[in-house]
Amino acid sequence: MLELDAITKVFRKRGPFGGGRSTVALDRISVRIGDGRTLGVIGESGSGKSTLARIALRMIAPDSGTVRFGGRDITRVSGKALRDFRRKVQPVFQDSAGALDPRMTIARILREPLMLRGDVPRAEWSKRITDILTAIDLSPALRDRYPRQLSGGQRQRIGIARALLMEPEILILDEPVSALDVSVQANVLNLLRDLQRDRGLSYLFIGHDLSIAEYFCDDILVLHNGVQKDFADAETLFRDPKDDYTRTLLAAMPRQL
Amino acid sequence: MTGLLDIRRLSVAFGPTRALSDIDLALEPGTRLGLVGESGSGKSTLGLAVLGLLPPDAACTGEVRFQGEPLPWSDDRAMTRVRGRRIGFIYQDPMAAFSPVHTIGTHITRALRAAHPGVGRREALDWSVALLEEVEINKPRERLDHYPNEYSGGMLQRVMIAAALVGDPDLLIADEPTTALDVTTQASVLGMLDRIVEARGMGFILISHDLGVVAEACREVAVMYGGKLIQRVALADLKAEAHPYTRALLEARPTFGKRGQRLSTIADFLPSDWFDDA
Repeated sequence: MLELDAITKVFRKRGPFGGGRSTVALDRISVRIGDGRTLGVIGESGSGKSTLARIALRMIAPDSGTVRFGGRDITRVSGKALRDFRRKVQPVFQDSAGALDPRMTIARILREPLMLRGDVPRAEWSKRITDILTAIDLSPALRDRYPRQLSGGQRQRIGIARALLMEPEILILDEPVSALDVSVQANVLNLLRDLQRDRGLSYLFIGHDLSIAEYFCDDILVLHNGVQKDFADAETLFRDPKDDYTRTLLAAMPRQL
Repeated sequence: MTGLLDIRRLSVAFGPTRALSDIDLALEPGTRLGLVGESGSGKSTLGLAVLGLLPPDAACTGEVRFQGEPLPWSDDRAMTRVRGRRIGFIYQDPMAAFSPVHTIGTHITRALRAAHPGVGRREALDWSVALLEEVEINKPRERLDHYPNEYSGGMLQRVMIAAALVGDPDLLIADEPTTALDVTTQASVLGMLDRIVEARGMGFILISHDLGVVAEACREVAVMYGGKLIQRVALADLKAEAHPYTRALLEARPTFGKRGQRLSTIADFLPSDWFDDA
């Protein structure tokens, strides 16, 4: 349903006297996320994985290549078509503290997507917020708290709830559990799995940890310096990695206990 | 034989918050211990307490003996002779450890001459080169003239390790030394730490949230939770003898073979009152 086709992105750094260097952040990357599936994009820093996420969200435009959603080219759409796309493809970020406005209560943060949608009557907002908090295993009593009064895991759940209130079809998960403790990470991963099953969501999962990707993703794309190194279903990738770099990554993983 | 480090009934509080409760921990020379816990477990506080680097408002009781002598926490000058010389120290963020306006050579030779006051400029330079070689940096002599911004994160972490070795310490404490690094860099830095600690026969405390990281460079694990030491166990016996909390940490990791299954959480192993007020 979401297809990225031959995406290339070059960042140019201007020197003080003109000229300057260019970095190829993504070099003709093609991926496809099927309905109800999870695609993992795995790489180290500078691999281009976050740039790919931003292009998938249409936060930035690729230099060449096409983003298609439901068969339709949305690379250059604007206005209502873009708003529709953005409602259906929602981001969840790594830094939950930075993604939530510290001056707003949780209820206020969760009202914003409902306000943006415009198709939910105001009288229903309170109930929707209670429902979504229950769905992500948080007490509705948290609605009057501020982000700083929540733990990191609770804040990450609020980030997910905010995305879900738009009733999206795809979540772009940019390192959603990287900042969390192991035990909290397990809770959030379980929640994401349940939500996928119950709501038929598709995920684009951006990460650096292959063991999480193996657990969580159906297909995995390995990126290195903007170049596609491997693309396979999770099981094949681990059993029979095609590329040397994938093998290096696998060998570098800390011991499995 | 005198032990290397002997922590007795150490408690630390920040105002009403207890950061450490009654920690007893002893290390023989050459012990390689991984100190593992989640955020707020007190693992970093324990490292700082040993180094006498707790903030002044910390209320601290108990005792830490290093090579048989109580650490002189209240005597700053005496503490300086221990810290950075007999006990080396590495922490997470290599970018914040170096001043951007001095070369790497300046940083290391200064640390060397502070630890060994009689050492001349020339000797310090040769010694610095040897230290950079030990942490496996190529072309060390050229590299000394470079500034921190010309180094990658992994290289800077190696330099920080070199700087921690200037006093030829008997104990090296590393607090999340590879957490800010990419996995491939992490693997090479851990491998190097393992070799250096082995070759020098130092005591080593590796503080980390990741049991897998600790397993790469330690022989024993001490698990902390809520300011308490939950258990200490040889790595080889970890699975067989894991405390329920340690078990929860192990099982919550998404490792191979758990595909399609729900991940275990702490609540699966421990009653809720245990982790709510611990």
